[in-house]
Amino acid sequence: MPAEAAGVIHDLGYRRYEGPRLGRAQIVRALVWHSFRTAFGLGRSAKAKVVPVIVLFAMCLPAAVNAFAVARGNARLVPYDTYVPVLRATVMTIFVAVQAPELMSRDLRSHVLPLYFARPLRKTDYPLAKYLAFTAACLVVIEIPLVLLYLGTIASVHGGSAVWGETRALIPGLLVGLMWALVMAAASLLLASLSGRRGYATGSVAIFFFLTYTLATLLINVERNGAAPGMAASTAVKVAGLLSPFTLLDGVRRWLGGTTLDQVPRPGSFGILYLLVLLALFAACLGGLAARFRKAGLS
Amino acid sequence: MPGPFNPTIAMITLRAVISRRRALLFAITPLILIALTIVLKASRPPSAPWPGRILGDFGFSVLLPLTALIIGTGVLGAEIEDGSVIHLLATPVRRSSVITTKFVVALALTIVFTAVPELIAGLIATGGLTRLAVGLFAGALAGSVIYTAVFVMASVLTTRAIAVGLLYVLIWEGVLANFVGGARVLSVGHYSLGVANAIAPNPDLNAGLTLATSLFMGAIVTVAALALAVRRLSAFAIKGESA
Repeated sequence: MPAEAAGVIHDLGYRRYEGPRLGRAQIVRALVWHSFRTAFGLGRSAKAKVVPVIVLFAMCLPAAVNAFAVARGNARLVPYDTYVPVLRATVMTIFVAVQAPELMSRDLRSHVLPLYFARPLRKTDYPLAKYLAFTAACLVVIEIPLVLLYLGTIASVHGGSAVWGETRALIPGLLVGLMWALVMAAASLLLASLSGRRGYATGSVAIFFFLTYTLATLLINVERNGAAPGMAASTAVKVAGLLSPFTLLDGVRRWLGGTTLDQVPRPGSFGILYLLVLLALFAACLGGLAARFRKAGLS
Repeated sequence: MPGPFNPTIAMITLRAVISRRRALLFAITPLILIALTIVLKASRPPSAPWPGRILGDFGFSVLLPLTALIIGTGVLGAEIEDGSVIHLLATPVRRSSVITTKFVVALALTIVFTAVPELIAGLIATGGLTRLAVGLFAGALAGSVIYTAVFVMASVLTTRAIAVGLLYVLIWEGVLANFVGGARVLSVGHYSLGVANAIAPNPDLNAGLTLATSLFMGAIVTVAALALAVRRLSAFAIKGESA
């Protein structure tokens, strides 16, 4: 019987099972879907939905304000590629700090990992499924406001070329959002997987993102204000952005050709360095995540 | 008649909070603050106005609230989360004594990991025991007291204290209190800055409150938070983690 090789239900000989047997792919798919729902507190108590709802609401607020402003004849207020930088960084920090531990720490705390790995699930499937699910969740939080922003704007502009112009501006914005989601999900899941206690996991994710972000922006501001007048942006200003994932992402955006101004100065020849550091961070997080789950039965 | 401070509970809490890797988590942030101060001290001209900005901004808006949040919600919240608090509540210890002890332990740890590094950074940055260093230390002390009381209360009120606390720190303290003038009266960060600014007047601190308002409101918030925590713990019901 070839189907038995993929069989998941342990045949202890008590009762025969003739139905279809689902294999590894279906387990991963179920785990991804379950984790994605967990990220928004779906299928859980109302309390678990508070933070995701507040986060989505806060992120969509500028898009709604923009829709009203555009309907009254103003130009679009919010750029697609940076959205509202401080708001997005703060709100995304809250989202990943609160929700990544929901995906990671609870399984660690209740010691269910050995049960997962008793199934034909490979050791890397578990972190991979969690990562895919959380990236998708971050994408929802980042991209839905952008799409609303787009819809709110094109509802009021007239003419095909104007709509096309908005669409062309939207696409890089969506891609920047994808970059954000990929990096933030990887970093937050790795940090969350280090502690089984939800509180400490949330704390370490929040401290990592918020501390590095404040540090980078403060350093950039101090260096800018302290620089002698007439001097070009100093090397220190350009390098300070390497400290935080948010400024890294923004530096890469500028390097790739983004024109909207943000807190990070134009990286210039340091752009490639931003890209390399970002890729290194990303690879380290994914590698760390895979390494974390190499051993079953961990606590 | 035993006093309100219970040394046994204090020892157990202390051991639980700073065991193993967790102490590292708390130690990283102040170390970064001090390292940053040393780097800036070495690289900037002495006249540059950075100490107030870095120590006030970074210290009072990141270091202080986040450390207080994790420690304040951890001292009692961790036990509530895993259900072992029932063993503590079953002992003949007054609930007010439990809250007082937990608060004192959390406060001591918060001071060690925030106010003391703030003082050290202030000493390094301004090159000696200046008014700014003392002011920042006093501000951080005041902030530690108020923040810790608020977060201990939050951990009794809700099982999701750290999520709620994070929303509060990042949105209320981080955004609203700086842009909406009226919110300052209810912002712990501004109480701390008010205290620091009263000792060492410095426009870089962006203090928006006077010393009297800060101390008065801070005392009210602290006492109210602790009283509410005692009340809620007195009528505490163990709830399972809802699905």
